[in-house]
Amino acid sequence: MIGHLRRFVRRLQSLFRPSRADRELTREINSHLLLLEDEFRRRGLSDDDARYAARRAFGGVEQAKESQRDARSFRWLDDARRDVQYAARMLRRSPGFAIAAVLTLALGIGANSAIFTVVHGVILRPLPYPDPDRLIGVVQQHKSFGVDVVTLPDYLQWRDEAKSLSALAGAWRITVNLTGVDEPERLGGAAVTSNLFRTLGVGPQLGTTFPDSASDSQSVVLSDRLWRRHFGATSNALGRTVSLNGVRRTVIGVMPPGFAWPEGVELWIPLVPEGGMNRGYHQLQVAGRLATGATLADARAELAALAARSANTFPATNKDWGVQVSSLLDYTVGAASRSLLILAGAAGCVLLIACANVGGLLTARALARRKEVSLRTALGASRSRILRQLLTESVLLSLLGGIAGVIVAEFTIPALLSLTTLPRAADIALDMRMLLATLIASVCAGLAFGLAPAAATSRVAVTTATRVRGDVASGWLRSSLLVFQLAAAVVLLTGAGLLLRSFYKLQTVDTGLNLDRILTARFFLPRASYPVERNISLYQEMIARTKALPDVADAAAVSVFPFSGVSANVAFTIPSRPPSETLLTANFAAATPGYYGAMGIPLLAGRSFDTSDSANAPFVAVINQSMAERYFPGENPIGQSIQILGPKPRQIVGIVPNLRQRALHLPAEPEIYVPHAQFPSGGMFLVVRTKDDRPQRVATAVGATVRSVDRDVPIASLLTANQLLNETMSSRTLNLVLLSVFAALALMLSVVGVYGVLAFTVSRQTVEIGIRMALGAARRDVLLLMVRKGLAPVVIGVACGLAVAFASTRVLRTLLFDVGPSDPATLVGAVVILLAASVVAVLGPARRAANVDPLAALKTD
Amino acid sequence: MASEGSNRVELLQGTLDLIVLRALTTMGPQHAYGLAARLEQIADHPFSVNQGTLYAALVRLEQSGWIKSTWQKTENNREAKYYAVTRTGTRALEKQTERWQRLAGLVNKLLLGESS
Repeated sequence: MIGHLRRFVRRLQSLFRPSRADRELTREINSHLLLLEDEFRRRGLSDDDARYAARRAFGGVEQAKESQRDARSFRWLDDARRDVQYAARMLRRSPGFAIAAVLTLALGIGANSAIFTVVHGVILRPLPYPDPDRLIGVVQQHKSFGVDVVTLPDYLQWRDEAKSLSALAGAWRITVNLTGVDEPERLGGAAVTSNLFRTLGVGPQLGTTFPDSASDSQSVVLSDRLWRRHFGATSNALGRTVSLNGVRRTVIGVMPPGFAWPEGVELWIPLVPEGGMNRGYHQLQVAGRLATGATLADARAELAALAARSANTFPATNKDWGVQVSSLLDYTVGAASRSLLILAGAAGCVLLIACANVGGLLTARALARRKEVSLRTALGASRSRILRQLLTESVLLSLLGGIAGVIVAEFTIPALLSLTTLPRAADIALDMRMLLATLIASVCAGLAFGLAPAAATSRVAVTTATRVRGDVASGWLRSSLLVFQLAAAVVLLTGAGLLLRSFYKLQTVDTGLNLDRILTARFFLPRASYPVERNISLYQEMIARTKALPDVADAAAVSVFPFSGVSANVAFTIPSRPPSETLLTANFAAATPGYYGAMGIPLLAGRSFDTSDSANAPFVAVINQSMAERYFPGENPIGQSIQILGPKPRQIVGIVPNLRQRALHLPAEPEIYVPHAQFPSGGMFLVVRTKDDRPQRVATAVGATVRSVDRDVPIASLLTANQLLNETMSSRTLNLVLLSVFAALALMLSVVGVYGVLAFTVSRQTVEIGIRMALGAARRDVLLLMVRKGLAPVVIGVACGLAVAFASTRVLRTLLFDVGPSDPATLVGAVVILLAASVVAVLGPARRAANVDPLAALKTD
Repeated sequence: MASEGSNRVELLQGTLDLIVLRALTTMGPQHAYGLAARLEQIADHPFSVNQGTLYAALVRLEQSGWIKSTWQKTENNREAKYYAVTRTGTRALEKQTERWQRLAGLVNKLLLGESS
């Protein structure tokens, strides 16, 4: 046993020091031969005869060495080492080929590492809570309005009655002004039920969380990041008092790093059921834990039954509302997973194209190396030995490509994340696991693109008689690789084209607004420190001083600015009519008198607000066209009354045109505006129209003006209207940019492939072309012949690609706007681009063929 | 690979190692040539193997620590690599011989049993 182990170690050792052992062996065998010679000479042979006899008696010297080497070390490992050395030497000798191949692979592998790192970080990585697969998320779903967060009464009912859940917690996202610290700040927080932390299974790293009983306690729990930022990560943060929206609260605990539920919040306060138990007010994000033995399906069935019961009991609010229960991971990731998976598929396509391309390069190279390979075969290398050698070369190539690819990914990932607002993206980085995955992917890629050419070559090499057939076989191989590449390129081009057209159509959607000269500053004035009168006078003062700035044309304020992500949906009634069966709803905003003027929104009928619409004056409202058409068809809405957010009816005094409010791809919805003085909302946007098209230039001046009015008002954001608009497009931008980059890569690689294959064919067939020309073929005939030859695989590839694109672009449907997934213009566009690029690629080699000098061609070889 | 291993006539796996170990034990330190000459001498007819084949067996034994080698001068003042059995080698020989005899006895019994 010991002997075996010792021998194993020695064999390993001699693997790394083969030359010393080899020298020793040679010396020993030489001495052996000399001793044999001595013996033969002693028997009376001449020197020469003795030497000859000694050799014969000894047998094959090389054979003896080989069998000793075999016993001494691990032969296959030794071979592999030699293969790698040899492969490295071969690559060094043709740097052009090596660089082209490594770069191609680096792009393919890098794109994949980057995308898969993000996919892993967002979709695959488990949530950072204990037993994450037992956690669920719940939303309510209306038959026609779609999905929404949960109302407090529905949540309470589920929490108390659902047997399939061991715990159910709710969180209401809030935005708070944090003061009472060195630097006031506006940040995202959540008002949560006291069982939230227990439900997720995470306790505080410091202090405690909210007790079950005292839900009205004035306490706050901080995130790790906030604690580090404002309290220097010291334990005396506990017991400190901070002010949130003007309300003083005591810090009672700090959560561990990485805990952020709902996504992105930085502090938690206890949920106080504000505004009573309104079943029409959807506000809670709901997460729960499955009871022992219960499955997701159980929870789904039970909550659906509860929802159905509520729909019967409370038809006014719960009719047509169902529930959607999913794993908490799906709940968190939501729609992002779909577009990420599409991008991953596209990246995979690019890698396949890159592999096909390098495979093509290798095939050409392997043919050129046929002499070398046949020599090795003649010297006794078996076919499998040569196959292994060639595969070692391709795997070495792909590993180099992988290393370069990791560098590409390292630089791409931050850029990728900055392009978008993906959930869970905060701590995504290239990690060991992804490096390992990249390594494996590289080796697989190397084997994938190396196997076919290597097999063809090792077959070619068997005898020179099979030369021609070998050419044909590998020519066929190259063409099919090309067909495959082009098909994949068509699919990617079509996908990118569809997204591009959607993007273009969105850009040209008429917002009904000219946003080029608008700057917005966002505020949130807490009711506690800014009572109604102070609120109204503050905004009046701010608007007046801003208007006085030199570059400012106009200023106003509004509670809901288009594309800001803020929206408010309210229910209203029309007192003059009998109570409606269904809930009447509309978007709602409070605006100061000059808002429509500042935004350049024309009035269609009636009047806009003015200073006389004060808190004491009769309540008034302005509605948009969509509201007028939906709720007052065939009537004149002006002069009619609606009742909204309070008992006092409001008279409609004006109508404005429809505006896109939430996002460009969503149609305009009914809207109600009320004067800010009659509804002093705390959250407002100061809207500034500048005199020229560079609104960001007045940002500093506006900020200073605001602080001159009230030093304590934190500005939540200071953005131009176009910046807000672009943010609503950010997820589209990611898809569009990435898919376009992938399509461009695919196009480039495919065109290089088209060029390479024909250039290679021309150089192999120079003699044949020479003969044709000697026999009377005109240059034009040769040119056309070669163009036809070069374009044949292109045409087949494009045809295959069209079929695949036709079948597969449907996955893009949800990402498209106003464009069908098999939009003919896009398909035709993709085909035309590919064909045009291919023709250009083919012309060069074809012209070279046409310029062949028959005499010179026939003399070569 | 296949061409190198299968069509070479070899002694029963491990037999050559045992024979070399045994020869070195009885002869004392010896070089490869001396071993080869001795093996040809004691066998009724020469092994159908070349003298070169010994080297694989020698490196196996040396790596197992059963023999060790030193470079020395021969009587004719030639340098040669002499192999000597180590103490572990002596013990191993006893054990291997015993094992071999058991195996040979078993094979004999089986073969004779079959034929009768």
